[in-house]
Amino acid sequence: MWSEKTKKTTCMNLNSFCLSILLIAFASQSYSQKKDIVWGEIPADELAMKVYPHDTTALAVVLADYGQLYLYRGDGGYELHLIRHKRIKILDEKGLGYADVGIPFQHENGVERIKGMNAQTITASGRKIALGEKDFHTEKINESYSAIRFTFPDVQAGSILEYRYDFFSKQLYQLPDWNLQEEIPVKYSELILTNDLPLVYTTLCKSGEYMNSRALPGGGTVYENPPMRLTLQPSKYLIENAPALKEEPYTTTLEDYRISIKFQLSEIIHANGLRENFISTWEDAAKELKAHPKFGIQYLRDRFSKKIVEEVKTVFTADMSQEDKLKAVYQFLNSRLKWNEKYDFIAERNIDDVWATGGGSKAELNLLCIAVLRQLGFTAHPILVSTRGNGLMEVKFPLLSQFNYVMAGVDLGKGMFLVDLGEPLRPVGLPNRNALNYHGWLVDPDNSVVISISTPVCRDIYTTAINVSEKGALSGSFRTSFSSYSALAERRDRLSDSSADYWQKRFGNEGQLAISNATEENAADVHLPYIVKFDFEQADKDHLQESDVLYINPILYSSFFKAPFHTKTRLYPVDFPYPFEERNVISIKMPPNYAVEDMPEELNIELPAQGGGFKFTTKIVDDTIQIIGQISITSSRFKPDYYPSLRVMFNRIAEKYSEPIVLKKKS
Amino acid sequence: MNQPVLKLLTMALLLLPVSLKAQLDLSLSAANIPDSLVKEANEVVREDRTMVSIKSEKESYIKYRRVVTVLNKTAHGNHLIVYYDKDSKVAKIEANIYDAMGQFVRKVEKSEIKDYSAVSDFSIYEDNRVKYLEVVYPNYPYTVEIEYEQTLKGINHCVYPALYLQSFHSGVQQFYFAIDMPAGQALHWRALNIELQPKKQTIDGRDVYIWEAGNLKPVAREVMSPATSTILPMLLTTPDKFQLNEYSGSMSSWKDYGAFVNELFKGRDLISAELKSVIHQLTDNLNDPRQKIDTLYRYMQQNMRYVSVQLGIGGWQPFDAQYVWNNKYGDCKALSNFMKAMLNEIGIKAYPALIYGGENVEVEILPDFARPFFNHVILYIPDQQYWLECTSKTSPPNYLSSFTANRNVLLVTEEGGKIARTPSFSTQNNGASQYTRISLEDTGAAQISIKNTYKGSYSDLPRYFAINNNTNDFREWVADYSKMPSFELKTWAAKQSSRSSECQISMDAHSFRYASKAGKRLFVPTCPLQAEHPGVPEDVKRKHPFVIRESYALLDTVELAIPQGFRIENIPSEKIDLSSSFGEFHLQVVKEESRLLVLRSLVVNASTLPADQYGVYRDFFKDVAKWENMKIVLVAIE
Repeated sequence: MWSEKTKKTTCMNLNSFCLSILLIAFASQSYSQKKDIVWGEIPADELAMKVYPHDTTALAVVLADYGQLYLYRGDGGYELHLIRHKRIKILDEKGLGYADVGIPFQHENGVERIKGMNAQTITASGRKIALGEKDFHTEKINESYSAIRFTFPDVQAGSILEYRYDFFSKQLYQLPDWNLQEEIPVKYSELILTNDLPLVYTTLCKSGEYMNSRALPGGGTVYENPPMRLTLQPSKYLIENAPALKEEPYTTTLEDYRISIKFQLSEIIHANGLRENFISTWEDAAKELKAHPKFGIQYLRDRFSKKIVEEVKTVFTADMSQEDKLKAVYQFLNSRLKWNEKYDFIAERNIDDVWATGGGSKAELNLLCIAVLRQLGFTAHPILVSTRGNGLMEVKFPLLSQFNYVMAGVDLGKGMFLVDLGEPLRPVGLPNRNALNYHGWLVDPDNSVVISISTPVCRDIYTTAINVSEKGALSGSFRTSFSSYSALAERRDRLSDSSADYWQKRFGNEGQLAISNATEENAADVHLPYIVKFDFEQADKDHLQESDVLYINPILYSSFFKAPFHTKTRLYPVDFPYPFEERNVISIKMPPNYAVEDMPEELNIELPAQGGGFKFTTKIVDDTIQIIGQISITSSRFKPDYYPSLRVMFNRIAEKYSEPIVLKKKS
Repeated sequence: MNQPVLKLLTMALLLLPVSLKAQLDLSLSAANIPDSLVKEANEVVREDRTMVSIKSEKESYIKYRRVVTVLNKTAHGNHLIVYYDKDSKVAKIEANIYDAMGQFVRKVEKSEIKDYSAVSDFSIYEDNRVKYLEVVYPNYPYTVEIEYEQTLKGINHCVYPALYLQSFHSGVQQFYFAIDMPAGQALHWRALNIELQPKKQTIDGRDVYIWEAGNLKPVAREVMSPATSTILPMLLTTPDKFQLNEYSGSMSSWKDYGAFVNELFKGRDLISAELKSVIHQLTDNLNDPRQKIDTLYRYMQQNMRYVSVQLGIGGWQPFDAQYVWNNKYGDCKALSNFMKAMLNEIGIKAYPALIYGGENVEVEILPDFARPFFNHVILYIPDQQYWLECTSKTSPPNYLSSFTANRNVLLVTEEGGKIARTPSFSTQNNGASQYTRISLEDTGAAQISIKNTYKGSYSDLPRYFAINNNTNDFREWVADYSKMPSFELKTWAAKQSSRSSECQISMDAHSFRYASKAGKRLFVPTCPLQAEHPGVPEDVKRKHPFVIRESYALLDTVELAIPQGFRIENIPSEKIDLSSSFGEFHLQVVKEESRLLVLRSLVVNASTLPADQYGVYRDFFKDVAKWENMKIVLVAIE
């Protein structure tokens, strides 16, 4: 079953991970389980437990999660068998949801199956209520996956729930992930691997950078961050007192921070003792993908794309540069193909079928694009990516299973253009926001490299000219220029709402400003900044009276009127998908005979490690006040250490942008 | 017809081209659509044909065909959703795509039809499934031809079609609905928002009813709109007699349908001696029947949880009370039935109430036409006029949230079905009353303390905070709604009343820059945490009336301590009184020695108002927003 090399690339869709340690698990090494777990026998202290001492707010806690994973030769070939026994304690009524369980498996071609389901509730008083066969429901999720779903009876705060099952699989490229950390605390979790097959696995485990570690005499490492302790030995992985995994805003995916064990097949040992690399080098992986019928063949065989190329050529004109041509191809293909929102990197259909049906998955669209570009003489290669929702890319090992996205890299002799079909409002060079996850892998057998994915700074510029009347009423003109992802969002919103008062709704400040003469520039040319201009007037001037003292709020618009970070501290880094900048340039013409009485003070904040900053300057020239506010974020990731500076900066911006100017009549 | 001939005929049909349609069908060209159907439309339905054949009281067969020209990407006509289960199998789904000229592009492949479990998020298991198709084609306009056929059994059969003749933003050229059934069997039908009569004829011992309509101009969806079933043309049909497993029933009236549901509930309220003794222990020493109800309701909330398991006729028939007692869970029917059984034990009568739950009432239940549009069950206690939501672990007794308030329900009584209406919110029991103290420092920083009381639908979120006690959630909520650019939360607490919907929130916070400072002046917002009222989107061209669904009252008292050395320089307005047919707003600022009192009230009454009043409604709330946002200017005394 291992002779079909191409199978390597067909196993995918598993989560990827970030790596800080690596072990090779090989051959069987037997361990006896340190703690025995016996069905229905609950230690008295766990039965009596009312709150979990290490986290008194926990609604439930995983008391124990034991897994024994066997790899062996079965009647029908290599197989794996996982025996799992899990025990959860419900501590609070709000945690009753943890009594609903779903165990997914791949039913397609009988790859995976589950047997021997057993489950029971043990009440606080020790009474046991077992589930019957009829209480386990198998439900088809989609063509490939099903799930066994069940819920525990008679569950109250204080109940203990336990279940066990046998899971079998014929898929051994990746073994099932073992999560050592969950959304509720884990008191004890352990996996023991027994491998009787001539297969070698690379074990990947992300452990926190913040933990102290020491080596174990018998091999392996212990990581400690009391009360948590993580022990990783060859073939045995366990954690004690893992804290609950908690969601925070501005992160990629929580999966990037979950402590878990993943296994990837790395070597096959043949009968003659020769070892064959299964995880090869990036170069070998690229060669393999190149020959894959659902990948390389799609963009290398002319016959799939011939017809498409003929149609594309009709949009070229004689005077076009290579860059113009690239944009023209991109726009033409985008106008004819709709993305079905599916993330993948293997094309399920041939690209001529994709063209005929007018749409397809990410792989289908972008491999088609690469095929067309190559036929037109461009140097275009696929770039594989793991999206933000899928987890950070492991750059040290060429593991194909971690990817879930493909786009095109086009070399025009002046750096790499990222080309990603699927949204006509996104220009060439700007991939889908979810694909901005630090790294990508350029699949070029001659020069296969991990590249960093970066995009130009996303810039919003607001230019305001304000006239102030003697009653303090404001009028004037406003111009905004949006680039990059801002432009994309603004164009998208505009297209979904064609009403005449759109700009009034967008910038009218809930009716406080009356907006007129709105015009747009480059609305259709997505490669240029999206520019909107309009005149404004303070909506209700009627109640204003002439006054010796006038108050003016000079900042009419900002995305940062409210500070985004509210907690004092932070567990995980803050992650912005792309660098951005917001610039407010304001000039205010004072009414005759008035002078500035008070002005917001100037301010200059710089973030650590050149991460960005805020600069606020003011100047008075004759009867005009000039204000410039500039917010910039230049790095994507801020370590928890830098979080306080980041938080304070945005607090200061919100405060500064609410400060008024006071004008006073000259006596 | 003898068999071989039939086979031959079938063979001949199979040999015809894939589609019986011509490859270029000019009638499908988008150019042939009258302009009046395109204006404000996302799609134009060229043809919509539903044919239902009632085979027996237990089974029917549906054939459906739609030809729709899709004008832009917000259209829905290119989507098809077919619900099915193991009894109601889908016989076929086919679709073809034509371009703007009516030129055949392609047939939709089987692999494009997705098959999902229809299990809702909150359900552990249902056998309902869904076939879903979204036809995609990148160039607008294009035309889709969709057909499907399905055998209907069980609940899918018992509920006859209720069809909108058009959806919002959709023009319709031709609508056709036919239903045929054994001659003499009665059919009930009703057309809403359109004059429509069927053609009825009897062919080969079957009564055939045909409704046809056409040239329906697009109708725009509007905000704050009344129930869709009071706006769009709709056709309701309902069986005189039907059979569901061993139960036979009728939908000739609500009385009959209620009697049928009563049969499904019958005998399911038997409870064990163990539960009986629990009930008596809890209630025997109480005298007030309301106290008894509250006690049992709280007992159920604490001990049972909501889990949905729906199999077979489980959509209509509850698991019995003993099942809930054994498992400590049930769905809305089972929990309501369980509560009913407990009350029954102490001689309190309760009726299950079938209801269509949702924040917005999409379909009004007609009192005089029995077509079930229900997705939920609650419980009604007639002697106390008491309502119980049995799926909530947190709701106070006799409290119905916006999900179930103010709408018609079907009470299932021993005398059959009865239409009743759930209570609506009033300005007395819905809203917020806020007391805020701001102690301002000369830097613009402030100590802020609030004590707020919430009632009715305004209490749902505070109750969530009271139960979950999650500081992060609370902090995020304050950040979203407050006027403080940044703040530090000191202490907070949320409490719920055990007997009414009332909830209280108290909070102490420090805001580094509550007032903006410019030189010697401070600009002070009058209320840091404003109770939310509905935003009013611009909608100048509305055609239909608009509905203020709930009455509410928001009261604010703000006490602002002025820092030493400052005096009031400007108050935009010291007294404002706005009044209109639907509500009132009052604002008063009282100046005292070293403090200011800001008193505000906004009272809005539930009402349905004509379309031309929308501008007035909008202006009213624009003004309210302006006065809520006003800042008081303080200046340092020189």
